[in-house]
Amino acid sequence: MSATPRWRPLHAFTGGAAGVLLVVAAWEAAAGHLNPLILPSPRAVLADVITLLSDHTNWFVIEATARRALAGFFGGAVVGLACGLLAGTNRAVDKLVDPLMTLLMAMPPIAWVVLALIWFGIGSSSAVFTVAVAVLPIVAVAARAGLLARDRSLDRMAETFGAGLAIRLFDIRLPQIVSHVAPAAIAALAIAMKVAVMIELLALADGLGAALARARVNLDSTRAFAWIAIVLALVLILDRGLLRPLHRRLEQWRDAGHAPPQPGAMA
Amino acid sequence: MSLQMSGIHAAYGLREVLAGIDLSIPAGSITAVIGRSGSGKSTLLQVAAGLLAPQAGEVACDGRLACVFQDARLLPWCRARDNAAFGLKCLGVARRERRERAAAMLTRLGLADAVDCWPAELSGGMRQRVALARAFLVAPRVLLLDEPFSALDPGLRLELLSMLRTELACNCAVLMVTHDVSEAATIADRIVVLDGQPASIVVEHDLGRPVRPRSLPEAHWIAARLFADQKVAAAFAIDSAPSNVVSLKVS
Repeated sequence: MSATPRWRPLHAFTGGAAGVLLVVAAWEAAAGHLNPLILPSPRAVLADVITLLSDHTNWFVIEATARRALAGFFGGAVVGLACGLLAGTNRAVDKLVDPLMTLLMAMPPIAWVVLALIWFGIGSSSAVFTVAVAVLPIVAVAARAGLLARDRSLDRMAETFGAGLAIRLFDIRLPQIVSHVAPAAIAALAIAMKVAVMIELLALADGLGAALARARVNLDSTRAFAWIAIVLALVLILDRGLLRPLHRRLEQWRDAGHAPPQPGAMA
Repeated sequence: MSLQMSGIHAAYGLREVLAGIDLSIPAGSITAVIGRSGSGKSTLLQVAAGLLAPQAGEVACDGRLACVFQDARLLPWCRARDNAAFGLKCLGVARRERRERAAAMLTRLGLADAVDCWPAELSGGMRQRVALARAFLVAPRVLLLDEPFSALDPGLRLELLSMLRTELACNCAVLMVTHDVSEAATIADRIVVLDGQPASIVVEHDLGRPVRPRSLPEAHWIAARLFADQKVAAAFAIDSAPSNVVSLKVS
């Protein structure tokens, strides 16, 4: 009978921030020996991040990228989830969709950028589309795998109670694919941000990617590093502030088996 | 008649499992189907539940059906109360009402403290009681039990069998499959023995409806009488000496 794990601040620190601090320390050491144009110091980058964030117009830059990345992410995730559920439920659909997902996974995002610019022109639609097609196969493959690995005895239990389609989907099947889809969604969110910044850098006039492009043109490496730091922080905030708490909430029942039994919880 | 099975033939692929089963279970009675492992008991139950289409024959179920399985089959992501309320949800009962009724039923089954527990926090017996609550709450006309008490200790099993008698309205037909002859003899009005490849009914014994679950000595005495029948002894591949059937559990 294992007790509830005790929170150990030292472990949390060593497990979380130590890695980042190690990289920053190495960065600081390297920056001392290199031209600031090649590698600015972390302190200079941090100061520039503060400068950028204190100008409210830059928040619109961040908002534009976040909006495109999230719109594409949720659009791609919803369609991917639907494709994965259909493929995991119906063998004929699975045969149809499986090779398409492989092709979509293999397609380089830069190729989608070119096609999106031809189809939708220069604008947010191209970015949202490119992000969505990058996210879609990742979520679809995970949803399909989750559905195929489900406990089918629960399907039969629901069938004996005459459960309708909505109950079988929302109460029986979706909860079983969370453990497969959530890690895929976390990876897909990072990819969504990367793709959004990439298309902004290549073709759009606003957003974090476009700001990065301007820093490159001005040979302002401190500014470029500052924007990169903001992109990474944005991914971290969305990941730790949105997806992981949602995942924990949806799967809180998994912790129950590891908790000490409640008083009187023996037959 | 609440459950009527006529001329049931069932198969898994080319392997025929059931051959011409005729079974009628009137409302208010409990029929136990016994036989050794692999004799087709669970297949018969799946056909009755509509989970397996028979190759031939007909199943007529007069009203709502509920099933309790050997492994409880609770939804691990739902608390005990929501698991018990699952059948009511399938019937379209409003959330507040079904949660109230589920909590009341769990309390009646001795789980008042476990209403908000996750299934992983419950013992095997408690999970099985939640599964029973789920079945009782839909007020079934036909209740199918697939060895629901086989993993439990004898005391708890007797307790749950008593609940089965007290909680069910007299208009419910119960079909219980088990390989435990004593369990069948404790509660059933009628015992049906399956044997053969493919399986058919070899013996039917009417025991009469018990006022309360029979005591263990009574059940053993009935089991001993059953095993005096050569067909029953052959179905379990044992000698028919009565000394073999005390605490008999054929696996």
